Amino acid sequence: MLSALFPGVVALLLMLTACGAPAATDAPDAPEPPTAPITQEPVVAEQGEVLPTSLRIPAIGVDEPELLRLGVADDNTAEVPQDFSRVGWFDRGTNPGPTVLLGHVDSRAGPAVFFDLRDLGPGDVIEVGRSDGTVEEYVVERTQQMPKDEFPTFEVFGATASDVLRLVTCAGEFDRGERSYIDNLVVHARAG
Amino acid sequence: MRRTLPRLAAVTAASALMFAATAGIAMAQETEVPEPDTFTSMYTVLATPDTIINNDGESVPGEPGATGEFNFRINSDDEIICYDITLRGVTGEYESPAKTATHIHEANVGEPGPPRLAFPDPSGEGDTRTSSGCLQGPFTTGLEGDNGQDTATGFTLSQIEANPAGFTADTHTADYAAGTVRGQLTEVPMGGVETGAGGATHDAAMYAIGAAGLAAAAGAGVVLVRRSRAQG
Repeated sequence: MLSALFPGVVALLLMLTACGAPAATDAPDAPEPPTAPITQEPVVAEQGEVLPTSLRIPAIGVDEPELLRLGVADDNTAEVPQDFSRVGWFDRGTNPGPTVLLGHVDSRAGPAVFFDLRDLGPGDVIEVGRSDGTVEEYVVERTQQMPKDEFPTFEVFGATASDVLRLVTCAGEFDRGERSYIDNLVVHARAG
Repeated sequence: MRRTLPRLAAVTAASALMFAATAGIAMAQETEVPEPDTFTSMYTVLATPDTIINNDGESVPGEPGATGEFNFRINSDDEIICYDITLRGVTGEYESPAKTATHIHEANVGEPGPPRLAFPDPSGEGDTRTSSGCLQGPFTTGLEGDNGQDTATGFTLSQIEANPAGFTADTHTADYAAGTVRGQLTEVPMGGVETGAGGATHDAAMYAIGAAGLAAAAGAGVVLVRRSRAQG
């Protein structure tokens, strides 16, 4: 019975070795590997615009004085912050809609800005600062975790008449072969 | 009796001709199709009554308190657009010179423009009206443009993908002929969000999956398939 499984063992070991190769750089003190040059700009509102520019989540110690401006990437997926320690805002231009903020759960070196997002629960407060100096307070309604291939695009990015906030990060198992988490985590919050 | 038979034959022949003519027209119009497996782009619209522009380019009021959420998924390879439309607070009968009153117009914000797509009008009891489905082109609006052709003639969905901000969604009623609510298309990202690089995960998770694979090779296969699907 066991011998019948040996080929599988060998195959799995090979797979682990292959996946293990880049793991050397995953040590907690390893520097971030050089990637493409940072091209993302912070959100700066033009005259007459009021845009989200900062984020505070006291319950999990997030305090970001600046947000990055994000959009839709060339492959039609969501652009994410190039800097793992920063939070980005999905820019929908002047069109109204939900405020969607995206941040990484971890970098290759360790926890990133939204690592503790999973600890948020109903009633927790999220403060979004705006370019006109005001602070909008949101209250968490629910969190939602789903496989990325079942990501509810319109439930997160879709238009809604009410003032809502959605925070997005990764969750679940990490697929080292694909260098990608299986799931996404979405925190839904409403203006309090 | 003898006279009826030829008449019946004549009527049948005429019906056949009419059917052929109708079928010919139907083939030239968009058809309701099942949802395709894949899409090439997705858009959302928050439509409001404060954005209405009449045909003269003047700002006019829409229906107070009404809103619309228009979500579109496009497969431009197969010329299919799927629509999920929810109107809240829109009252009264629809009215439009086009074949339906719920449209995507080619129009920048603050400007008028011709309808390029006509969707089945949302319906429902009470305050909320909805309409969902998928249409495959070539499209028609039933409205003749300045050039004497249907305003959808020559239109393809790739034009929306090239410049989504140049298109607007709206719906028209008898009381609000220029539109009850309107809003520009916003492109939204497709698929999951890549917000992690794995540095805070523990290798134990990987070994756990490995153990599961050893216990049931077929199960591991399923996991791997699911993982590859999870990309992007």
